[in-house]
Amino acid sequence: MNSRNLLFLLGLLSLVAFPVAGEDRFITLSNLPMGTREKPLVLRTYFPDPGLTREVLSNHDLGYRARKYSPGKGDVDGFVDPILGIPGAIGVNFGPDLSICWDATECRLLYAWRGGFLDMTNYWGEPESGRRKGFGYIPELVGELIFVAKGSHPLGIFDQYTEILAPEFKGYRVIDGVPEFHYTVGEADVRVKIEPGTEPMSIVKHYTVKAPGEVGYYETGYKIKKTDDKDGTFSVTIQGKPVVGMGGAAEEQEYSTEKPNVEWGAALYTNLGCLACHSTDGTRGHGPTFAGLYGEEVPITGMDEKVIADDAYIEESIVNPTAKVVESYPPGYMPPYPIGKKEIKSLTMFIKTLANE
Amino acid sequence: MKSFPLLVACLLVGSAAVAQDASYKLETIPFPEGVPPEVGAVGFTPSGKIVVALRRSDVLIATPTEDPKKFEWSLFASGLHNACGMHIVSDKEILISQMPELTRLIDEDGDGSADIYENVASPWGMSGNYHETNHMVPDGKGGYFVAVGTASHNGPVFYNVRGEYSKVGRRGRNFSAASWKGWILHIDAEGNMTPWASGFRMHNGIYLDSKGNLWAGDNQGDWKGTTPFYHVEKGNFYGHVSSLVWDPEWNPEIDPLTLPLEEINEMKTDAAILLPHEMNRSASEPIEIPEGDVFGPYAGQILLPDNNGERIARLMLEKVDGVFQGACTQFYEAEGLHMGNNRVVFSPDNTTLYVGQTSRGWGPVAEGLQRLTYTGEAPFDIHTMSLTKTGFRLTYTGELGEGAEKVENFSFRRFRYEDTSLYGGDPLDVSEIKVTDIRKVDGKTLELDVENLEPGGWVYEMTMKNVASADGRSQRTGLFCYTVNKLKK
Repeated sequence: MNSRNLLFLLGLLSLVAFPVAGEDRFITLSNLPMGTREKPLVLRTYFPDPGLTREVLSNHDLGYRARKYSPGKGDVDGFVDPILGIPGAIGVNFGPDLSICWDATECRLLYAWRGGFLDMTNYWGEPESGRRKGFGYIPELVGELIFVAKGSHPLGIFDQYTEILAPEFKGYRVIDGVPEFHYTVGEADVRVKIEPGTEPMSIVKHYTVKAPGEVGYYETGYKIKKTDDKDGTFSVTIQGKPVVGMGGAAEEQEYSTEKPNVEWGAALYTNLGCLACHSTDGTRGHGPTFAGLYGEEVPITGMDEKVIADDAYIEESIVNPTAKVVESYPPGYMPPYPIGKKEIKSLTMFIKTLANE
Repeated sequence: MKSFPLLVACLLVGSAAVAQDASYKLETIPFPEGVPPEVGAVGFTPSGKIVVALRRSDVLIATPTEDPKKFEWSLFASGLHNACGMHIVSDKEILISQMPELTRLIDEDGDGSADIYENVASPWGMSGNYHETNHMVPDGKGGYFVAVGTASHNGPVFYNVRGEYSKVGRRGRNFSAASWKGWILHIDAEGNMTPWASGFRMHNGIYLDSKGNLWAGDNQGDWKGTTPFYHVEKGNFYGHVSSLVWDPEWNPEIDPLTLPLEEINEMKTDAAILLPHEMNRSASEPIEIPEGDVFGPYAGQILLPDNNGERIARLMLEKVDGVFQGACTQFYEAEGLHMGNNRVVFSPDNTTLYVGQTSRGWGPVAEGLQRLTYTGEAPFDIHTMSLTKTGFRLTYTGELGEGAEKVENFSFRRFRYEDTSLYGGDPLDVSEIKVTDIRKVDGKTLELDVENLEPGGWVYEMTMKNVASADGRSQRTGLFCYTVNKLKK
């Protein structure tokens, strides 16, 4: 049994093994806290980042690889890489049906999952020893991702699907146990309450928006149902679905490792952490996007001629990233990945699927 | 092995340990089973209920009972990220500083638990580093001072950072990669932020005293040779260089870690009191002892708990030549007090000090809630150690016994500390200081003249023997350290 499925099971077990006591449900020494549909659990903490794009996290600044530092010697050999995590989000768990990660920096739903909530052991430590996991102390998702935000903010105000830049989080009000998040953007005042819908994997967002213009809603990559806007009040139902290749349990679906294949490449893209820097939707990250990369001409720092991004170029870039650095990206940022030939071929095949038609 | 505890007790004598006495009763207050007692903040409501914020998210509330095991805890709020600062406005309104923001909790419907979690202000960033906790005190005018801690090299930063990221600020042992780490910020009643003071490492405890002075301790480490206690004034820089990158006046081309030490020392405001490692290794929330003698004879003095020791220090501050300085000693040490002393509050009747403990994630697990109640029996000790033009004046809590005023009863050393990029520091230039004269000024007061009394941050360490009260009690503590920044004119 792989670790993620094990965590999934643990998430279900937590309902049995760590019953909530009395009327007040204190956060207990259990590192697998859960709520229920009737009494959701709200928890602000660090959250895992299942590979959200820069477009989704556009109000975040970028953290960078840093030289290792010694108090006595100053900079020393080696680097310290940033890790993936969401710093300022709020989690809500409604029991096994739904958990959400709503971010107070972007003021939007970042992702949702089902099955469990969070395994806090990395951050809270073992109950007795208190030992926290060193550099990877981000809590782990328990269960299966069913929604991951893509593209710009889903809400559009002022008669256009204008991007919601720099929203201001105002706080939340707990209504029947469910937080209703409140933020402003420009002159608009937005309140949104998010709950499980009636259909499996569905998520309902109840909006109350006071805005000087018309309000629109667009969710990239998911089927939605929106009710009519009545004086700024409307609901949106998002139909979630298992998310492949983004840290959810679905990624554990079998793929062959006998010979190179696209599914293996997609899994490697997540598991090796390529997604931290290379987007698949064209947004600029720490490294060039993989969208439309394969087969295109790429400008290289220090070279007069552009280079075609073919199998040889991609293979070289994985094994020896400093050989050809794409213009406008810092040299030496990407560490070499000394992986096997089949893995390299699989990654290349995956990148090829993202080529322009 | 029956003699073992006695042996341990003997070993403690002569260190900074307090002698056992009947002045303070220590009790431990349990939480409901399974609740992790990681106390991030404590406070009292106007109606006399104690409120405890736990670092895992919950805010608990109970009416204190005489029996420490009979507290009936209920949940006031939940879901907060590492709540480490608290100000209670009323039974229905509590402010909390948590990792991402200053949050106002309001129990609107009066059912005993908060319905509204309002973001009052969140001007600081989050690099994603676990070490960036905050403490907060009200400014008395509807606003707040927030102490924003730095990140530790024992943790990373995130690829996606809240607030601004600084590559230069990322360098260093403890670092300021995200906005305003290592600063004290002022947030007014309307939520507007003004940067107040910089140069802090982990100022896990700020305090506004009854006279309006703002104080902050810090944790010894890089740029903190030993535990400092600072009088905080607007615009000052207190020595930890990484925070400088967020100063709007700072030239972003300059990496503060590359500055010559002399230049940093020039810019820096000295600590009012330097606490050697024997006194404190990680200053947490300071608190002023209330007026009257309901908590013993030290009204007006400041207590400074140690997050990294089983002890609470006592500070004797005075203003000399316009600058605060003074002495420290141990107020309460060992005798059942936990490690991890983090937050303190006096009961509404001022007879009892509640001490909340946590160190999970920062060091070995030490956590809980304890209380110290004054029994009414005053300890025999030096009430105040103050500077004279030629040495020190020692004012005792009670009448001195025969023969206390002997030069050979008092030993002095002096040393200094250097703040560098290296972690912590040993006392430097240690030398014996001769006591040249001693006078008994009145029944409770001695004056000592010493050699080599010099300004500039020298710590004068005093130990004593054969000093007892007129009624035969020995002195409660045995070690005092006075930081001389200025000489008496």
